[in-house]
Formats: sequence, structure tokens, C-alpha cells
Amino acid sequence: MDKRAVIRKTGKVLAVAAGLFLFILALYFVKAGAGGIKAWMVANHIGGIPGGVGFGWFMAYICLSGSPVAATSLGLHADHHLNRATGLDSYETFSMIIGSRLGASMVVLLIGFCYDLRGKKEQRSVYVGAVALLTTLTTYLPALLIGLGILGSGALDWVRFNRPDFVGEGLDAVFKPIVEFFRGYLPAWGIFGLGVGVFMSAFRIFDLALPAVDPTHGRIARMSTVVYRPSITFLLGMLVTCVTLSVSVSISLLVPLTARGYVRRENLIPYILGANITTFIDTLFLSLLVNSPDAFTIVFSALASVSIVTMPIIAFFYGRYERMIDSLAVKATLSRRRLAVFVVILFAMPGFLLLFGLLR
Amino acid sequence: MNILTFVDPSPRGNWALQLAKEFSPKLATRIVLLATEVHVRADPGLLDRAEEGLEAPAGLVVEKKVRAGRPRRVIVEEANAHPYEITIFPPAGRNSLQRLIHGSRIRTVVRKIPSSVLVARRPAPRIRRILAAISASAFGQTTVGAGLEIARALGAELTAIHVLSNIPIPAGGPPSQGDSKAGGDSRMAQLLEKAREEFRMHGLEPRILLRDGMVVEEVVHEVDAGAYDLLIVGHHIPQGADLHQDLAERIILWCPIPVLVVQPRKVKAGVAQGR
Repeated sequence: MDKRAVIRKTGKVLAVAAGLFLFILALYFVKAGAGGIKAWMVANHIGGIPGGVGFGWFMAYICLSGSPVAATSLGLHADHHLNRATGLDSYETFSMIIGSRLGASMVVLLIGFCYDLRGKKEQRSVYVGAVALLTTLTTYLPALLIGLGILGSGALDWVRFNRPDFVGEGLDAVFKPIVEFFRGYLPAWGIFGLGVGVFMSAFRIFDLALPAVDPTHGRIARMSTVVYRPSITFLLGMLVTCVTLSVSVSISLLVPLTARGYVRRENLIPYILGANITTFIDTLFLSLLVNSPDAFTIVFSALASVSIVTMPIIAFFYGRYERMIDSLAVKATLSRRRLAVFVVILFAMPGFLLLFGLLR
Repeated sequence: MNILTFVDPSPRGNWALQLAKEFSPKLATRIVLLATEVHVRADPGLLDRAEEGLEAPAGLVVEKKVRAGRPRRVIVEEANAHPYEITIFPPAGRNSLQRLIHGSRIRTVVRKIPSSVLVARRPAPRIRRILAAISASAFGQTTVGAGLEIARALGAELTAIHVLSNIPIPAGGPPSQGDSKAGGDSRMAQLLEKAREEFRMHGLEPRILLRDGMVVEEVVHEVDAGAYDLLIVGHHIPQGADLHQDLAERIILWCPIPVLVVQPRKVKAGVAQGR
């Protein structure tokens, strides 16, 4: 192995270690600031399932990513596990996780929109964002109801992991002093905000450790020129997102994968459907670090409910579903005016959900 | 040209016969009417009536054959046993659920026989407008060539359609700056120019429609919107086909009008002749 390869490998290992450290630190910050944010939520009457979805959705807009928001919801849930008066209960946590993914899909649309503005001629990559958003909306909203049913029935209560005590004690010894130090300078909501910021940094650092993909070799390199079976593209979407941990990054990664920056429309929807399932992998991993045995159950229920909605689409209704999404995406992006209306609706939806939570 | 026509007692059997009648005067030298043993036992006059209905012009040889087995098996066995250029057969008329349980006659025949196939959906009284769906490959040119020959024989007009389903991904540098995209565009332009040449070689003004969207949906939409009477598609499965979706097959299954499927064997013959 040459010197550069050793340095590269060492860098990746360090990036993973630093990312993991920051992940856990962020979790401690969010837990410490949960009382403040919960007080703010109570004061603003934000709560319940619609409030959870709306809050997660809006937070994802602010963070331009869903993963830090989903991770934050676990931090808030961990605090609820310790002190029932603060934090989020299981239903609210689940709703916030789903909301975070709905908001995150908007990021792809925004990137597409900016990308189109940069191009000299009409690029219409905003279509990809519209497809990502519509695919997520049409699968996650039914999955929200199914997941709440799963949590309510306790059907997946057996899927849980308890963090061993010695792990908890070890982590407390390392991270609690850091949190206590910042507590001396910041209010509770400030600690919470710091936690969200550290989550975002942790994801950034993890990105550095992603494996490099060679765009010139292998079958996936030809993805832009060939239409694959939906099931194959679906699996590819699942696989790539397992590695990238983010749907928007996963879709962006289609650029090197396709080597041309173009993808066949027929390949797009199954890819996003697959990516939308495995995007929970990072949150699932993080739930293992949270000192709450049902955190894993909540994230697993989200993963299971999205799979329950997605699998029959791929197996039985794919053609109809594809036509519906394509037709809606084309209509929504036909002109700047329509796109503006579409974006306004998307911003209004979480607002409406928060308002619904307020009126309950 | 040898044409195999599968006849059954259903109304769809008449569609196949009607298309055989339209194709035979200028394209066929020999027509074989094929039926299953079960159908002939149930309706002994089936093939005789079909022969009469064909109103074969002088010089056209008409033969009648009966084979044992299910329709799809009978068609595949006969088409593989003898060198036909076109096989005409009606769809089994199954809905999606029935297709899931029993399989698709169209899919089986298209995949298993070497000749070009004419799927006999309800035909117009006369074929006047033909649409050829072409891909940006050498096969697209062959499809146009086959379409022009048939259009000339039937006295119909041919329009070609090519669907661009590529969409830019919102990341990285703007694709207009990359040379690989420009390379892709120029390759497509070359292939479309070859298709235009085919038109000109037949003394016709090129009529090629370009559409943006999903291939199957755009082709089927154009078939409806343009009131076409016949669709021609090329069918070639590339290497690694187990991973690929067969768009031609989806077009064939969805299209509401008769579809002529040009098979790769014709491409090879065409290439060989060209050389």
C-alpha cells in the first residue's frame, strides 16, 4: 500500500471517529436543552402528532437536511424517557422523524431550482426535486398512519435494544462535563440549538468518510443510458443511501454514478423509493446510543411502515404509480409560476400542521 | 415474404385475419393460417372460413395448419419450425390480474420467436397512418427502414417518434459545461440524421417527432393523439437483459392499436446486406 493510500485510509477512520464523537456530543446537548425547547413548544402549543410532523418538517427546512432533525427528535425522546414532563413521547418522536424526511425531500427541489438558475439554458433538473418530493409525500403520509398504528398496537415492541449500563456510564463520563461547561454560558434553548448545529457538523464529517465511487466502470456507470427494472433501481437506491445516509446526497451521487449528470426518468422513481427506506439507517444507528429502550422501536417502526407502503407499489402498482408521479411532477414544474405555487403549498403544509396542533 | 397468421374463433381472431388481408396483396407470397386442435374441433369450418375471408389474390399461396397445444405454444413452435418473416396473432384478451396468473401471450411470443411480430389489436378499416417509435441506436434506423417499406406497400404515411427521457440531476456542475453530454447529444443527432436519410432515400420528407418524457407514456400518448392505425417498434434485448426493463415490451402491451414488432434478426440481415 503506498503512502497516499495509507493517509487516505487514516483520514477516513479519523473522520468516522470524529463524526461519531460529535454525534454523541450533539445527542447530549439536545438532551440537555430539551427542557428549554419543550417549554418553548408548550408555550407555543406545539405538540401532538400534527405538531410533531409540522415541527420536524419545518426544522428540516431550516437545517436543509432531515437527519439532524431526526437525530434531534431522538435526543428529545431520550429526555422524555428520563423526565416525563419534558421531551417528546413515542408518537411525537415518530411524527417528528417522518416530518423531518418530508422536509428533507424539499431540499432536493431547492437544489434543483438553484441548479436550473445556474444553467445557461433550460435544464429542468427541478423535475428531479419535484419527483423526490412527491414520491416522499405519497409514501410517507400513509406510512405515518401505519406507523402510528404499529406503535399503538405494540406490534413491534419486541424490537428493542437496551444500552448496557457500562456504556452509558462511560459516555456520561466523557460527554457530561462538556455539556456542563456550555450550560454555564448558554440558556437551555441555546444548548438545544448548539446540539442541532453539532449534529449537522457530524453529518458533514461523516460525508468525508464516504467511499469513492468510480463512475467509469461497472453496470451502474451506464445507468444514464439504460432503463433498469424498477426492482433493480429500487435496490440500488437502497444500497447507495445505506452508504451516503441521506436521500439528497444519494440523488446527488447519481451524477458520478451516471458519469454524465443525466438519469433516465424511468430510473428515478424506484431509486428514490429505495433511498427513502434506507435513509433511516443513520437514525436507527443513533437510536442505539440513546438511553431509551423504545427509541430503536420507534425508528424501526418508521422503517417498517415506509417499507409496508413501498413494497406493494414496486411489486404490483408500479406502472400506475410512476405515471401519477411523473404527471404531477411535470404539471408542477411546467412553468416558474406553477413551481412557485407548488413551493408555497409545500411551505404552507407544515405551517398548517403546526396550526392544527395549536388548535387541538 | 412468408406470413404466419394465427386464427382463433374469438372476434380477436378476425382482427388477425383482417390485418393479414391488408398486408398480403403487396407484401406476402405465402400465408399460413394456423389454428389449435381444440379450436378446430370446436369449430371445424374455422380455417376454411378464414381462407375465404382472406380473399387471396392470384399468386398468393395459402396454407392451413393445425397444431396441438395452447395458442402461445402453437405459435412459437410453428414460427420456430419454419422461416416466417412476419407472425400475426391476436392478444389473448386478458386483464392485468389474469396476465399475472396465466402469463402474457404477447410477451411469450415476442420473446421466443425470431420473426417480426404483428400484434393484432382491433384494426382500422384501412391502415393510413403509421407511427414508428425509434431509439437512439442503430436499431432505430432499421425500425424506420422497416416502417418505410411497409408504409409504401400499404400506401400509408409514416411518422417517426423519438422520446428523450434523460433528465439532468441537480448536483455537480451544470451539465451544459460537460463535454460528455455534448458527446451524447451529437451521437443522438447523428442517429436521427441517419433516420432522416432513410426517409429521403424513399423520396419522402422526414417526419420525426421529438418528445420529452417517459418513453412508454409518450409513445402511447402520441398514438392516441395522432390517430395512428399501426405502431412499429424495434425489439432488441441488450446484454445483461436480466437487469433491464424492456420498454418495447411495455409499449406493445399497452398500445391500443396493432403493433408491428421488428426483431433483431432483421437488423443483422440489414447490416449484412449493407456491408
